[in-house]
Amino acid sequence: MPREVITLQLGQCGNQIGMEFWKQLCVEHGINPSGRLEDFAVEGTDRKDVFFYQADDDHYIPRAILMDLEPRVINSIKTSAYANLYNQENVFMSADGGGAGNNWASGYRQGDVVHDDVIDILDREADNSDSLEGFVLTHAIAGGTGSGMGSYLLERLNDRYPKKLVQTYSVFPNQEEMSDVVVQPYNSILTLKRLTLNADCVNVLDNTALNRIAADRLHVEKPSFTEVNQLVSTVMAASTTTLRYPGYMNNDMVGLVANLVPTPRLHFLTSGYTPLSTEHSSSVRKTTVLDVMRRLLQPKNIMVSTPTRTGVYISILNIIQGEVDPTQVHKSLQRIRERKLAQFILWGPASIQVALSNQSPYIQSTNRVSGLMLANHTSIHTLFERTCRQYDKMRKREAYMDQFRKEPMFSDSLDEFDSSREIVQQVIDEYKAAERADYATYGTRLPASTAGAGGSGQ
Amino acid sequence: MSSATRASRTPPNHRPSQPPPQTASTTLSASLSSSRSQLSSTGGPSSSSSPMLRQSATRSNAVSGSPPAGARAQTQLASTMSPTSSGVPNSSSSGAAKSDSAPSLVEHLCATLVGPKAADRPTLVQYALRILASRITAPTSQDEFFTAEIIKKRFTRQQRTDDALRFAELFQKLGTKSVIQNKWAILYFLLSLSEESAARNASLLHASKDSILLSTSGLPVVQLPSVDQISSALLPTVASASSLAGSGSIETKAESSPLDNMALSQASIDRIHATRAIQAAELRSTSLGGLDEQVLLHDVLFAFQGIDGQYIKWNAILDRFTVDDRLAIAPPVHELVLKLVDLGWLFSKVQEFVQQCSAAPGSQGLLVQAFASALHLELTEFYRLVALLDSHVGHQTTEGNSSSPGLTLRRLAVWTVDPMERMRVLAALVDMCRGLRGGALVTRVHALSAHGDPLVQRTVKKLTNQLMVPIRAMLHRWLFDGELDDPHGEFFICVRPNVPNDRMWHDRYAVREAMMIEHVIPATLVHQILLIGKSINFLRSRAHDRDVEEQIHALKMATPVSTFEDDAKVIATTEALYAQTSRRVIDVMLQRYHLLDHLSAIRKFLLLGQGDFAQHLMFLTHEELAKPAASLYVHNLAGILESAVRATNAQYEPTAQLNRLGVKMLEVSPGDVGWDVFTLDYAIEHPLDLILSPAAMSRYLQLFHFLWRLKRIDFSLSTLWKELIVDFKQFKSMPEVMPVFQKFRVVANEMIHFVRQLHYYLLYEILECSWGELQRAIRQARDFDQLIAAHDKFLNSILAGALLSGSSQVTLGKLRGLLDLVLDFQQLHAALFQAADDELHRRAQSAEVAAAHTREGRWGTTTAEASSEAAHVAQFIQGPLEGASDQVSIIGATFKKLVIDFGVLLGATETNLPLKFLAVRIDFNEHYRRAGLQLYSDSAAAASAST
Repeated sequence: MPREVITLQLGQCGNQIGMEFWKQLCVEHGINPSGRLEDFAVEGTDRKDVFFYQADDDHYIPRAILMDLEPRVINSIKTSAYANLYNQENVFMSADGGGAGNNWASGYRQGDVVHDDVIDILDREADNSDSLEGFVLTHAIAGGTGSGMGSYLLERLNDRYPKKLVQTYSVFPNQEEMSDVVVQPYNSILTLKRLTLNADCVNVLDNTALNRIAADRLHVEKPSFTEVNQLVSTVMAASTTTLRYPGYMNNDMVGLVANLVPTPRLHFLTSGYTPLSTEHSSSVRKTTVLDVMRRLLQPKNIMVSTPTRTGVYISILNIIQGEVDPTQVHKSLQRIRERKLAQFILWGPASIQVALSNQSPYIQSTNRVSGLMLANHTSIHTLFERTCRQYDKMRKREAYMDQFRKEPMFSDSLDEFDSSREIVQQVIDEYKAAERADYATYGTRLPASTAGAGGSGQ
Repeated sequence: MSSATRASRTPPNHRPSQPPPQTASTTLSASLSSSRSQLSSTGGPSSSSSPMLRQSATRSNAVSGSPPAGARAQTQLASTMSPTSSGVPNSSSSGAAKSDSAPSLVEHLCATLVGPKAADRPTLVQYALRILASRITAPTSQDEFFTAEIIKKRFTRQQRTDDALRFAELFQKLGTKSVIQNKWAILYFLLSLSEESAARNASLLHASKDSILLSTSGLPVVQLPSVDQISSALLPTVASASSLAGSGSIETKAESSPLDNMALSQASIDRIHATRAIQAAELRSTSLGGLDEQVLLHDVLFAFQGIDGQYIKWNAILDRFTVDDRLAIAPPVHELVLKLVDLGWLFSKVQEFVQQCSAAPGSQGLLVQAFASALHLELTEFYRLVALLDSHVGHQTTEGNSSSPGLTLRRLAVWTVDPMERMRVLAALVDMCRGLRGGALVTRVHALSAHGDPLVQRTVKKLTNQLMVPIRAMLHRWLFDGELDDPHGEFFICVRPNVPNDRMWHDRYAVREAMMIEHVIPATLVHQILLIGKSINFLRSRAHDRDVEEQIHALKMATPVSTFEDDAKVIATTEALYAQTSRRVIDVMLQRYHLLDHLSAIRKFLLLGQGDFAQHLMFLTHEELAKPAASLYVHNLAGILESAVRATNAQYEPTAQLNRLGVKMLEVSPGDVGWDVFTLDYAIEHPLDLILSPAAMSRYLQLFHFLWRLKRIDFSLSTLWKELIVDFKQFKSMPEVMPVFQKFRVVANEMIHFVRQLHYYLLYEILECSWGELQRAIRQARDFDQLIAAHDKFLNSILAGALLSGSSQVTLGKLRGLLDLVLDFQQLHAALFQAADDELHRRAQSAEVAAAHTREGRWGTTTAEASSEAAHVAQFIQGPLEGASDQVSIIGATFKKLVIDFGVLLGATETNLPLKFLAVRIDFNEHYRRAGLQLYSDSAAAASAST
């Protein structure tokens, strides 16, 4: 089957998100927790083969690799209802079981240790696919496993599968509340370098925003992880609907992403979803395409805590599901254009791309129309800048560096930090440049010095 | 001469004439009497003439004084008259037993005058009789004193005062005699004669005739010996008589001759008058001149039937019936008769038409036959009427005491008013409908039914009803059996025999405009009727459906042809049948032939609706299709198609549909690559080809070609993007390629944006929306025609939207240019990428070599190697890199310009709104507008927002 996608769930957060994601997909495709097709499910309208494959006895198995350096989360999965869903061979837990201790360097090192095993699993899954399209990685960037081992994996993926698309769902830390992980900025910056250099498309999931949204929608003051993760899984599921329900366009991941990412560095996407309904809320009004698209542009629905009023959209993709009248779409776009609800770049054509997708026939939705927005907005650099500021503060004083120095990577020098910081700064600069009209010529002139040694390249 | 036979006609105051005594004077009197007998038709009393004779005798005696002379004169006279009159006395004496009737008298007279052997004697006799029979009377009053005065005046005018005195004396003497009764008549006759002689030399016959009581009004001119000849024949006798009397006063004789003449003539005149008066009286009593009214009636009735009667004959020149001229009938009667015989003219017109039609039955068609038979019925009715009238002729209806004839001309006139009207209508119809056939005939006839006159309406309605009989039969046949029973081509539905399969539904049966019956069967009903028949035929040939056939059969039994006379019933039946059959046809097409499934399959495969299948097919074939077309084999591609189907969700399509999917290679022209000739194909057979005709399928293929091309470009752009962004990572060690690639990226971004918008517009706004429309229309279609129309509309709208319709040539050309540019760009990029890749490998290799050298302990790179390396690098930079850099700038600029042109064309020329919206969407963020060029007008944008 063509265009398969392998999902890599990494670390505590990554696995939790992943679990929710697979739960959602099973419900949508009518697969029961043990992987069998439900009776009411009919073949033909959906494509399970992108994310699932079938075993000899025809039960569906997610094309997923679950990895963690500590057993807690994966064990909880194994004891959940969906225990039999996953391919046990794809579940990797470090023998160590100690985790990465929220230390990027530790995670990175441990990734190196388990490199062969992990690569084995990857190879196996990749060979299993007819024409693998790419990888999807779910992790958090502020912790240890997800960030450190994730970074390592990203680099290896690049080496081993240079022509495959690598997409990540990266959870950024909640910056509004004090986190118990003091070295978040270090982890973030170090991971951001790999996300910049080795990933092709990063879906930024900002915990700050997620919590806020969950609190608003669910009317809970402090939403639990489960609730927040459910939000994430909704976004993830929604962003893959065009792959799983074949329509006219956007049938593969490359096509989906090609619209959103103009240049290699500018690949950090924000997302938004509406309507977020819960058990309590009933539909207040009829959801129309215009309604949905308008709401998607509202800052309160965007899952990244960056201001969208400043900065411009490089590109927007709205994936609309439900009973959509195709004739309405244009009207909605016109309205948005008239009211200038979205500011776009100046250096090239840009618009809101709309993808109309089919829905799962097995889920009764209270809303007629729902939509996901994937956008490339330049103001994401504020998020990076915030992180950078925090990092700079700490880096100046070299606070909490000792943990890192223990690890081989930083035992000699902290150059890795600096180069990472530099990369992130380049990204910030590029995003800022994209807000200007002359971005078309950005980077089109040969730099004064040609870089000689490899490694820390562009 | 006895006038016994004339008793009934002689007025009582006329005494029969006596045979004259045989004396010299009596010879004269004999001759006179003979002449008298011939002249007078009223059995003029000889007694009245005898005093005249005696008078003349005395006159002549007075003049000549010698009776012997007078006798001699008489004998001379007699002798002169003897050849003519020899027979006369005999006849007169022998004729004592003869009738004294006016005609015989006139006979005698004419015989005397012109000889018995004269050829024109009978005409003369006739003429004389006519004169006598006419009612010509003297213009003056019948007063003798008045007439005497006139005579006296004449004399005095002519300076013959002595004659005037003489006359006065004679007149006094005449007045004392009581034997002569009609003194006035005599006087007047003599006066007229003298006038006649005076005017003898006047030329015209007519004038002379006129002057002597002969106003021949209306009577034809007969070449007769003029009366003056008659009088001249008479005169010499008188003249000779007077000359015999003496040689003396010739003048007086001459003078008196007119007098004598007059005196002579007077008596005759008297006679004539008498007879005439009798006849006039007779005429008056019968009110017809000389002809029995019954005969005339008979003739009129004959004329009603178009047959020549005795006196009323058809005059071809005047194109009417005319009454025989020799018949003397009064003008009012004449007029009445002429009016009546008009009916005959109308009748014959209609009759002629009916006969024409029956003479050549069927040549003009059934309807004309029906028309003729309907007319014939009317004529039969008319015959009946005529027969009825005929039976009345001669009957006397007794009303009270007086008995009057049962039918008179007047009564006839009254009774024929209605029939006349009806006949007029029929004749008008005959005229109007000459040469028309079939339905047009009915339309014409029916057009008259809106006439205001109820009689006309009734007639026309009856006629229309009968005319519609064959139409109804044909309609019945067509509605229930779907067969045309129309040997003469008069029905408004015609069949065309040789129609290809895919046009079977459309063209086989059609409406024959010329035979449409307006107002009786309105156009919408005609349309429904046509559909019903077509549906029945279709069902019979395709469906073999027991149910429906039985239903229709039952309905057919329930509605015999006779019920079709009621228009409402016709409409009701048609509606019911229409609903039934059309629904059934649609059901057959949808269920048995899975029309919707096929349409859906076409949408999925030919219109690339099954995106994953299309994507995968593209992925599998894109390398293959880049090869020259001549080297490609259909079976190879078919195999690839198979695998694409199996690998995607297309495999879940019903096999019936999948089996029809195949690969087709178009005609190969030199220089073609696979992309140009490759197409998918969907097999269609009858009856699906009624909707999906070969023409429609070729348009689908045209669409496929276009969409496939677009998909190819989309695919290459995706690949391009991947290489620029994802694969690019491999060039980390070659930072010098960065700027060029960045340029590529900017242009690529623009291209991707454009193509994506176009693609979205095409697939969603055009295809998806039209498809939704089609679904809706199919659900709502009530009959097969609507189904076909819905599909045609679908095809047309997507073709128009895809700029493939004829009107969008220019825009399409621009678009093609744009897409070609994208392909050029992709090729350029591929070349550069390849070059960069090669360079990367070369460098890697040389690095490897250097590493190997280092390991061996030698210098990693020698100076030579280093310089060659540097040379290579420089070459790479100057060669492919810079070349690509320049080219990409050009392409970028061209692309921008072309997009602007395209957008302007879209905004300006296309009336299709979605296309205008496309222009708006291409420039959503006003990037091009800021470049100073407008892709669309603000009004268009506002318009699109308001819709």
